[in-house]
Amino acid sequence: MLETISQLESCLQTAVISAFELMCFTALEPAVEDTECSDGILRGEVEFEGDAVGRLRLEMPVIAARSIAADFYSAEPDMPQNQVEAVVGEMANVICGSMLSTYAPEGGFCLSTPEVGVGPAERYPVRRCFHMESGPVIVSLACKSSSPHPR
Amino acid sequence: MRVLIVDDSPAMRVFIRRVLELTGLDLESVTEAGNGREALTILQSESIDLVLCDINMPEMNGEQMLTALKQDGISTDACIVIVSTDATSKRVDRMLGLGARGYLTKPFSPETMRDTLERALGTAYA
Repeated sequence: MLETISQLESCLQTAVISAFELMCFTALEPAVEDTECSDGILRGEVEFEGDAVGRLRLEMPVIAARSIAADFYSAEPDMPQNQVEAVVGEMANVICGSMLSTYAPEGGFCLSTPEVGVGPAERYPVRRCFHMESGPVIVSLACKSSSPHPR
Repeated sequence: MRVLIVDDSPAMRVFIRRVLELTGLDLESVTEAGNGREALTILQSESIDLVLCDINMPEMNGEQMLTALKQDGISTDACIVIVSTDATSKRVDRMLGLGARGYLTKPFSPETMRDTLERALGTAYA
């Protein structure tokens, strides 16, 4: 279990940076210290099953989510909230798929439809924090169990 | 080139359309469908050159759509390219085995999309 989490964590950072760069044309810098989103948090969450089983959450301040959504759609940031939420959900989905494809390239996995919520949520054990110009980005993981043969 | 984007996420359809426009490929029209069943209906009534298709979708997913195209003998000359977050070899092999001519893994750049589409389409639209 610990080995699974460690391996997933090592795949996570590349997946996050790549997804933001290629889908939102936004550069992310890994944060040295743990960060908290102060208020107005938007979070996208995806459940995964396969060689590893768990949940991945992407969270950021609403203002930062609006900024990346504008880049995602190539539009102005004053778009309807549901369009911003859809981008956060899609980004969580892409990050999770990318991480799992690197973790077990010969394996297989299923992802749930992304869920989007507002406000703080239960803290997951594995966290990676990033900075972008419009605010912090936090990606966290919780693993329920894993296959005995992950690779 | 007439393109059909098949994805249940309106946000992802906007993104794919946007990146497609950045590839510089000659686009005559871009149509959208929210699942495989809608895509099959369009393929039976419209002339489509390229289908960019997600896998996980409600009602009829990408794998079911490829299977239906084969089993139901739906006549289409469209080149089907899968667009998915799942880059595992098992999934890629399965989709290519069902008739997809290319596989594009999210996230992708316009350059990667262009390379994948050119390989899938051959030189006809390059």
